[in-house]
Amino acid sequence: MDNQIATRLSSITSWLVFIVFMVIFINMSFAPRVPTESLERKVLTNFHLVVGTLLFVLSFFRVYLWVYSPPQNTQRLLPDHEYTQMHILQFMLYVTFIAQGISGILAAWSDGLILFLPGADTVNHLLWTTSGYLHSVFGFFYIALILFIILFRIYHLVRYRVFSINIFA
Amino acid sequence: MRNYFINARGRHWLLIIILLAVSAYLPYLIFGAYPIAKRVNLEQEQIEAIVEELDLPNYYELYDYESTEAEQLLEKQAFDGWEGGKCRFCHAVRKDDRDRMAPSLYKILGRPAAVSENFTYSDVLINMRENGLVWTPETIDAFISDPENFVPGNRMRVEGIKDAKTRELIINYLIRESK
Repeated sequence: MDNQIATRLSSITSWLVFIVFMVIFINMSFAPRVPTESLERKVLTNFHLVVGTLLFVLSFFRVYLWVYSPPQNTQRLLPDHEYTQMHILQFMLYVTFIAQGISGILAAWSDGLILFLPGADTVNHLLWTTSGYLHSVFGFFYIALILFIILFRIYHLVRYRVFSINIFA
Repeated sequence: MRNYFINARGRHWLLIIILLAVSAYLPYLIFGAYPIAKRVNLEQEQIEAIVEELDLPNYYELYDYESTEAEQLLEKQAFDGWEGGKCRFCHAVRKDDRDRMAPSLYKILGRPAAVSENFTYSDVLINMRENGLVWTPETIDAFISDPENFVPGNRMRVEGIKDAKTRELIINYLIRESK
């Protein structure tokens, strides 16, 4: 892929991921407070599944771009190790979104929320427990990654006068 | 990508590993979640043997009463709601309900502690069962009023329900719905 196109696509995908992530984060903050059996909860769960899948696909595409057209270190403002640290955190963030998507799809599938074949019994409580736990683990992990990215951004601003508003790219 | 692996230092990866390790522990610490569910905790014959030995009354018959629609709504709100006990968020109640993160409360009254299927109990609750803890309206009331005090170290990480009326509504809901 042409490097300029890849750079443009990477930037657009990063912003899209940021927007979709904010939507799902707000949804996720409200959903647990709504009673499990209510219609409102079902709507929020379905919305979570659809937007979560979109986040998974976008993150997958972003990682693909990253691996095949990695960002070039053309800047000279940050020391190499600081630049690498930031990029490792951001790369792990996208990988976590993919892991979050896989565990989420498994949890929904084993809970019978998504059905691919009519009449198939996909409900499996043991798988639901494990995939649900992992979904929660990756949730905490990306929050920790975002927190550290913000902390490093602030540190870079104070120490090197370098700042970028998009924490995803 | 290769450049990252070449340029990365040990501390870069160490930070990632530490964050992942902490994240792996947090669902357990905060919600009391556990990554593996145990299919069977105690065989049905063993449960029946414990109950038979204790010669307990049938609590569902003992406490059975006809509640009005308004009372039923209040009981449901107390059990389901975020402002009430929040029990529904983790517990199934009826026979056909799908198991959730916490053990099912179906036929909870008169049942020994830590015997439900599809849940890995904490050692402390298993010890309580071995010491004769059986779920009755009284023991449930004591437990939900202050879970950590009643069974120290258990995995139900919720604040106790201080309001006696809310607890009463929850227990009435269980008597009605879990039989």
